[in-house]
Amino acid sequence: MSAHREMAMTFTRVGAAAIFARRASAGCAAAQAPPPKVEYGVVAAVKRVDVAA
Amino acid sequence: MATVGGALRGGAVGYVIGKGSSPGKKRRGMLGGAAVGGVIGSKAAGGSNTAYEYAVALASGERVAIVTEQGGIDAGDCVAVDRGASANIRRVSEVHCQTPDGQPSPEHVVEAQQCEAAKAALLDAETSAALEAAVRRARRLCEE
Repeated sequence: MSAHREMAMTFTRVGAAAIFARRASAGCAAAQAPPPKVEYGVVAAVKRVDVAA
Repeated sequence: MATVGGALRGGAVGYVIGKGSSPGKKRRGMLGGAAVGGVIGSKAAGGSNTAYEYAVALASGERVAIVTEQGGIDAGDCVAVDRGASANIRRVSEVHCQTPDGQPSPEHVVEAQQCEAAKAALLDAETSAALEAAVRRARRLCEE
């Protein structure tokens, strides 16, 4: 295997590892995020809000 | 496209104005929430620059206001308010507002989690097609 090809494969492995690490990190962050709080209530008032684009 | 993309994301995510905000902060929050909802109407849906601010008296006694592009909810309706990384409001059966403990049903908890995940995916969308698909999914999971 040429040195050039070996270097390319090394970069590929490093890149893949970085992607996996990032995905694992994102997965952990998602798993640790608290679930949304759900509460019931009655709508007291509704107001239309016009917004200038 | 960046403006439309931002509007699509912002309009669907929703905004909560919490209790205890100072008048200045509350006003800024209202304007920010209205902006995210309003722009989606004009840029993406071809409608007017309209958002809706719902004042909700929660079973806990807290009173919150949520600003969103989502219409179709009237005063007196029983609603579930989801508050996490984003906010959402959906109409639910009157039974839930008559239950003394006010505990959310497992079904509504799952729906809130799915909605929040859909909104997170919406914020991560990187192409127009992905964004439009994410908006459709978020609307389906968050409004029904």
